[in-house]
Amino acid sequence: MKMRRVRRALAAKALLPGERAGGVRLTRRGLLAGAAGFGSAALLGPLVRTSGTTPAARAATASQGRVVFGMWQSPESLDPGTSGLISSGYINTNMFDPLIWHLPGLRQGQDYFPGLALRWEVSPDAKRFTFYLRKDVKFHDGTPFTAQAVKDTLEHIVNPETKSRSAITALGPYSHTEVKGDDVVTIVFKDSNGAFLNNVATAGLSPISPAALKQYGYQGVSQHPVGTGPFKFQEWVPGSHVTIVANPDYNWAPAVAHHQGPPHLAEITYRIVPDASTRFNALRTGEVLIAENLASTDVTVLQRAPNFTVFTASVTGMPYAIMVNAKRPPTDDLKVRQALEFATNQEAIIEALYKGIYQPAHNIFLPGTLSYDPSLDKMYQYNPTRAKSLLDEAGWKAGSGGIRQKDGQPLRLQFINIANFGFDQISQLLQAQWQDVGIQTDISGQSFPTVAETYNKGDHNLADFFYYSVDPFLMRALYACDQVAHGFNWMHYCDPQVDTLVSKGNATADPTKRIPFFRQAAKLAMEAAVVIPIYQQRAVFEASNRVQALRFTVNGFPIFYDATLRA
Amino acid sequence: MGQFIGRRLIGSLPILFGITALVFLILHLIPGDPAQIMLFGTNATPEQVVHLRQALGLDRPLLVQYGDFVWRLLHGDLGVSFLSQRRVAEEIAIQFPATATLALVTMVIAAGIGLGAGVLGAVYRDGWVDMLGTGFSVLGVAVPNFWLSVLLILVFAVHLGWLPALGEGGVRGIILPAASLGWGFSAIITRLCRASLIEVLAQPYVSTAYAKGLRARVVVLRHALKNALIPVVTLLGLQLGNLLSGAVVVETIFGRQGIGSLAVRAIQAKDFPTIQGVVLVVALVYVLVNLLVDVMYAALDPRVHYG
Repeated sequence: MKMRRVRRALAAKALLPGERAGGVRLTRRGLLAGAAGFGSAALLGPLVRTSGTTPAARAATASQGRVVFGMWQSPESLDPGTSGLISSGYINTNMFDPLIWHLPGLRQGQDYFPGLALRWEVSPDAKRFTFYLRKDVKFHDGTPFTAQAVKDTLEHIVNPETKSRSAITALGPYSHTEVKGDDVVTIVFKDSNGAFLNNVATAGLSPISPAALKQYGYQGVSQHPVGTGPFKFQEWVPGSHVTIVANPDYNWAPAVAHHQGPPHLAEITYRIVPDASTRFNALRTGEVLIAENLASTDVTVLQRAPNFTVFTASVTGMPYAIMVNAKRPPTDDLKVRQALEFATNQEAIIEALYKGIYQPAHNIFLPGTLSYDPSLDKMYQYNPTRAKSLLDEAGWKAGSGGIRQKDGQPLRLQFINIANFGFDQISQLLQAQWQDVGIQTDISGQSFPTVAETYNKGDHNLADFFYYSVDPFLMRALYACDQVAHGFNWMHYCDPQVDTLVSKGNATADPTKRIPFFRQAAKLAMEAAVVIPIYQQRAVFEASNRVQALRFTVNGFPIFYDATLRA
Repeated sequence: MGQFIGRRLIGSLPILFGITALVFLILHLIPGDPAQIMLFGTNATPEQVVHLRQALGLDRPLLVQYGDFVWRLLHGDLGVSFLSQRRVAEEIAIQFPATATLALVTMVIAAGIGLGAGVLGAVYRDGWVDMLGTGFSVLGVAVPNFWLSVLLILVFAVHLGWLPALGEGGVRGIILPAASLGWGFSAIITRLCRASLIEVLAQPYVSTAYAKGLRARVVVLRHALKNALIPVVTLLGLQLGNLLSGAVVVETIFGRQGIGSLAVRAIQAKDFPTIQGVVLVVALVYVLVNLLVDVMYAALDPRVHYG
């Protein structure tokens, strides 16, 4: 769940001007892994609108048309239970159906919609989740979908042999699964798992054919994915492409889809094109019909071009942000951290780098994330005067060369970037903004896996971050005291009160009860000024106008079920 | 000759092991724990990281890890990729043909253009053909292949629509990648072939051949060129390394399969077994090609004997 939006991350990254080269790719991969999981909860987002209008308009015509999707990264596994990469998530979202759909905001008063499960019940302590399953569903290999398949899938995920990276985290404190007949299954957790409904709605926890698990083994299934989705696996040529084709037997689309029956498209090829400019060029030549992660300059070109559509989809989780180290001087001083917040002009950064693509962020959550509190946006607005007086109060007085000093020491911050991750230009703009209030910033960069170790050690004052998640429980991974040494708590921030609030927020699955805890925790974290939000990332895809009715999951993965191809 | 080849092959074994040892050590010097990278973002507990490290065998002393690698290698086992969980040998087998094809086509194009332009340049020295060839060479050496790739895609795929931008799908798909990779290469061959041929053409035996009344074409192609080719053939062997490193870039830009892009993915993920496997295979190819070069000397120049 963490970076579920992995792709987003990617997308965002790729959008940066001048960022298209290999470095970008690297990073993303790392992130993705991190992100794992969570992904995809929402296929239906847009679907919902039509829900009910055409419930059973069975597709009279056979599936036709072939779409080539140019994606930057190669999948490493097509087992939804293993992979954490966005590229795998894109494909698996179209091959696997989740038990339920999470579509916040689509219909007043309803966050979740039936998928393979027609209805579900959650115990008050959020430890037992019971699903009542559809009886008319078959896997691509003909195996009937039953409660046992749900159990086998989860057992597969938790088996160490599977080496699950993201699904196992999305699953949470799993204990066991109780099969109560073919169509009733109860998933039991050792601890409260209030985030589970959001996670079970992602491709990562979608049921896999038990027959395939048996035939290919826990490792082999990664190359022979068998789900219940509208498309089924055809071929995977490593380093080149993955092709999936329409499942002619598909007749269990969620009610919120635009149609029922098999998908309109006959085939989708996920073509791996690591270079952003080549993706752009292949889109122009028509070799790919949809592409991701283009340079922002190229996106601007396509926005004006008549034959192309730029799709954007909002995502949830945490914005692109700078993490401030609360342990290392001088940012161990709250006043210094607050001064940084006030000295930061997000609007100017957007104007310079992402005009028309992204919005500035002033909150540790993205709008759309459960428990997002718009009132917190007002806590820190650009105010250099306020920043200067805070620094004065903290004892940092104006010194020579415009840099403030205290006890003869200049006010210098170590800003360590994740190289080629889309932060390089942001950090330079921040450096200039902070210089205006008397702060010197030394910028350096390290490549992705290495930088995580540096951040965990705490050699930085400022670090880069963003995080996709379907649930506010992401705070567990980002703010918890026990995540400093090994996890994502690169702020080296530890407030036991926050930890308690977060775990209380996860002790129930009822959103109305969870929200107050997470809002309180978010307020404390923002008051501590350990995160400087920069911009709200979105999923951005560019496509030929021939591709119609493309939809996205909540985390912005393209859903091809309802899509058509114009001649 | 057979003995010579046998000796050379045995002699190259220490080289191959030396390379694996070097790569192994370098990989372990770079910070970043593969287990941690694999679990990054999954909220893994420190125990999980330790567990995975044990599962991957990374908790053992370096020497033991290397010994294990060599031992398995001697049994023909390159290990299993951390990333994809496929056998490394299988990964390489899937990717190698694409790179081999690209390298071969590039070689053929580059050698064809290089030899042709080199011979013409030497024969019509300082004429317009030579000038043209020289200009072509200078550009070819000066233009980096990643930039050339993008330029060729823009011109031939986007604007003219003659060839695909993505470098796969039969003959049409390989032209642009091979041209991107081959231009600089052909330029080097042109320069060397021209210089070498000019030198040979000044030799007394060439004058003798002319004096015997042989036609210019026979003198140049049969007598002079054969001798002039020796340094060129050496160069072809040595340039193979550049060709493979260029493939890393060109494969990535054109979205082609191949061991170049496999290596990039493996390095990014610190997938030790795959990196080692790729390096080993590349080293092996390098050794074999240079052996072939040595053998070709004998074919080109009767004065060279092995035995």
